Amino acid sequence: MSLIDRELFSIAFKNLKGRRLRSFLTIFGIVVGIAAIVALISIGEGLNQSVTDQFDQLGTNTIMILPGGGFVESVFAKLDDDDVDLIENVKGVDFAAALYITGLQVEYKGEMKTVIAIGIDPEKIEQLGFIGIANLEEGRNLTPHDTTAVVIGSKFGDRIIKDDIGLKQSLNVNGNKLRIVGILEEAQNNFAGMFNTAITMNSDTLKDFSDTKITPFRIIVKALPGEDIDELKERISNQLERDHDKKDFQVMDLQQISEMAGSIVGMISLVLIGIAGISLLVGGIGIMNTMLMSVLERTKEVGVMKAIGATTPRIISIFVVEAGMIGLVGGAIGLLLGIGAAGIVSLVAELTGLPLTAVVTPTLIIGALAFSMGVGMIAGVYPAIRAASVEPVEALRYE
Amino acid sequence: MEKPVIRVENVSKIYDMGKVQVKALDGVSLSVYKGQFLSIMGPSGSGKTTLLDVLSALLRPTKGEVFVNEKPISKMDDNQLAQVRGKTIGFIFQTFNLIPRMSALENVMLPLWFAGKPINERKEIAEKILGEVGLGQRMNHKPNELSGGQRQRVAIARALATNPDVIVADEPTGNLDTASGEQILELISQLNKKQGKTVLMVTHESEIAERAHETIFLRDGKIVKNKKNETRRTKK
Ligand SMILES: Nc1ncnc2c1ncn2[C@@H]1O[C@H](COP(=O)(O)OP(=O)(O)OP(=O)(O)O)[C@@H](O)[C@H]1O
Ligand SMILES: [Mg+2]
Repeated sequence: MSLIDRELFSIAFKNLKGRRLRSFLTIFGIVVGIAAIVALISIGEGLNQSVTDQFDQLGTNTIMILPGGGFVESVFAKLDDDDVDLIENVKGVDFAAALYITGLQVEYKGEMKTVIAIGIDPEKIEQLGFIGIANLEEGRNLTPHDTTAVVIGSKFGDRIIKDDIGLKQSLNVNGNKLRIVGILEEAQNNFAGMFNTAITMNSDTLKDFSDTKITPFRIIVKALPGEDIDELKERISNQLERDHDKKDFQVMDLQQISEMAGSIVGMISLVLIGIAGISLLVGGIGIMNTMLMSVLERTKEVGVMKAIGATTPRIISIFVVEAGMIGLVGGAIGLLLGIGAAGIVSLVAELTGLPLTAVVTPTLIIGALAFSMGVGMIAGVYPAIRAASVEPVEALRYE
Repeated sequence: MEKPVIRVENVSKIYDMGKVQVKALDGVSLSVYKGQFLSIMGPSGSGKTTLLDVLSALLRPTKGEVFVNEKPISKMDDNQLAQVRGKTIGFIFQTFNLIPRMSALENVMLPLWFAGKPINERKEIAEKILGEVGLGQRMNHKPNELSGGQRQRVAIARALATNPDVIVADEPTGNLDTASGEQILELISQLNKKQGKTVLMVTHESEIAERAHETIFLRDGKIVKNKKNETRRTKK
């Protein structure tokens, strides 16, 4: 006779259905614990993946210059247009290109939309292909003489305009026609990802369109082959600092960018591990408590089941599986919340330019559900043993 | 000579209540044979339920030995005992004791699950027996959607599910009105007469007891009288 079969689960399910989960508190701990774990693992996995992507795609000879030194100044500090030339003259630099970014009001088929517009020096657009930026899918790329031509990201039509806008169509900005000449292929790495939903154009045109003065959002630098990256960063940093009279910028290589993301994730992880641990403990105790109450309430029932032939392992299995199912319900809710939380973290990361997209794998989903069921089952062991130790005669006399 | 299905030898059940000892059973010996219909009578507290519990291998006596099909239960552990009960004995309780969350059908299937029968067999047997006790149309009802008499029929069907040799019933009509009580008694008598089930039944009323072949009278845990009801007796 096998102990685990369909009946066991259907009976456990019936027992659960029959009573309202004593209060949301019973599963609250499990919900929070599993949510924290799912968020943690999916973010960690995402970080891992995006770091690998960055290295694969951007290579190790890429340096990025960001405005701002410390945290506070970063809002006010600005890079200059001239910085690009300055950096290109530093020994060991292959080339440097500035990226500008701003929101633009465009009109398409009579509707106004706010879109993200990226400005780039058309002479350098081809060269940026190596970091996964501005590789062409259809049409042609920007050329140095283009002023009103734009290329659009692969998801621009879908997500932003909500129309299958394509080549030869145009967008209006303050009465100026912007012709779409090319569609970019989908960028895979996180940094280049911002091109997917944006329009990209000549940076001079972009500056003309903007009411306020726009300055480089990032300067991307490619080192000559064989250059020592640390030394090159040092030279660039010194050069810029001399020019700006202060260090109101950051020079980072990809290692540092991913470390930055890593340290933030590390901090989140620590908090989440703490929350998860405590919550699961609380959740386990909650389930144990509910199950103990349930055992008390069902003493007579257990007596009847023993009288009509249920063995001790059978009774234990019934209660353990029931507890496991409570855990599973909590785990399923927690899983959804965790995926949601990870999604929000990814969104925030995307907005702040950190290379991070949470990844929810099937293994994680199954693992989280199995784990929550496991926690429930473990919490159910003691109540189940209590139930199974009921003396049938006494239970039957129990009122 | 035929072997008894259940035999108790000089059994006592003593509850130690600290200051006093309660002798619920006091040196009772009894053999129950296949096909026998035995009723147990006696004043409240005389040990009727206790004797029935001991006879049905639900309760281990303090002294003496219980034999089920001539096997001593003192040599079995609790799980073996549960399985022996599941196979040999069907229980009918005064308060029905159905599982409230399960339908009639599921309640009847339960002992078959405990006995390790596969699902399709469980369903087939349970449906057949529920039909036999007249509940073919009520199989998917929960206990609280059934009348007392109907509930007791479900309980009888559950007791019959594993096709046990012995049916034990502790005041099976105690919670029923006269009419449905009468029907339940008739059903139990039929089980004895038509299917040859051994029936052990505790009752307060002598009219009910008269349906049995034999009535045992208990007082203070002892058998004080043993009356054969010749008119009803078929054999043995
Ligand atoms: N678990 C127990 N602990 C202590 N005493 C008990 C226990 N169970 C039964 N007794 C005592 O044993 C005696 C016999 O009880 P039992 O239930 O067998 O009587 P009964 O004849 O079935 O009574 P009734 O007609 O009221 O059902 C009673 O005095 C009762 O109080
Ligand atoms: Mg009694």
